[in-house]
Amino acid sequence: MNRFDEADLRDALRRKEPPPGFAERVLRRAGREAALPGPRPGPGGPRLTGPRWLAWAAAAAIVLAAAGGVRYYAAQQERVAGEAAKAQVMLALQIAGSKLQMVQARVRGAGDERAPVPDRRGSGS
Amino acid sequence: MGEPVARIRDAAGHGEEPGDFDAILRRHQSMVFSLALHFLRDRDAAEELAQDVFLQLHRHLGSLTSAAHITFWLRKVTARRCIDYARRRRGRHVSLDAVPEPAADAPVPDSLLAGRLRRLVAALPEQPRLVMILRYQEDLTPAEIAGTLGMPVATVKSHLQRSLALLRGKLARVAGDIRP
Repeated sequence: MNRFDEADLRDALRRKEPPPGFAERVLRRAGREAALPGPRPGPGGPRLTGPRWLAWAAAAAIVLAAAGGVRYYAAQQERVAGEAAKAQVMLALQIAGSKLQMVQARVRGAGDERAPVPDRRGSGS
Repeated sequence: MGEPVARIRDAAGHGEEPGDFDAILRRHQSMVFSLALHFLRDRDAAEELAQDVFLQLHRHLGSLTSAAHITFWLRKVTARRCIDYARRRRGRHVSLDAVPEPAADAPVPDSLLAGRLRRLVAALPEQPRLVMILRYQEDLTPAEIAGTLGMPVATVKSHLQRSLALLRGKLARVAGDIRP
């Protein structure tokens, strides 16, 4: 009949034995793989070779170099920013000085125009 | 054979010695091979895939702590490899609609019905196909399937319901008769 229930599905999908010699073929491959020289890849992929301390030392050196680089860069940036601020202050002082000179000159000019006039009241009556 | 492996005990306390990769292999070979065979419907590809799964197990056996863990790991890795394999050869995928329907002739003997069911299951999309195989080959519950495939239980149940409806529809189209 072209109808089915879950038992039919279980029957259709029941386990099948692998071809004869399957286990022996797997064991041979595993043996060959185990006999291969060199490190065997782990779950995360190939591993570093050499002593473990060497890997740690290399990692520490990389971290130190990176930290030093960052600090050097930060110091450079700070110095450049300081020099820029200094230049701006100098420029501001120059501008302020020239303005001050102009103001002084005007004040002096105004003083000359208001030179004191002799008081003649009472002298001719 | 193989490298030293921690002694592995199953839930009943039965131990397997390391070398017991051999014993583990023989105990689980039909499970792994059948998962691959029902998924791929290709004996050669299924054997190759199953061999690769056991070689991977051989490399990782030391990290597996119990017999139940090994079974879970084998199902999970086999399922993942089946999906990867199917994706690599996706160009040759046959959709469920493309599967020829059984001829509407005399009543079909059970063995033929089983064959048709296997073909229809093998034509399901990848995830529902794995769900159906784990459900009816391994007799896993939806929660166990969800744990193995890393998907929500509701998705597993949905795949089961829809796949059963699809299979019934395919066969009923010919027979015009569905058993409730």
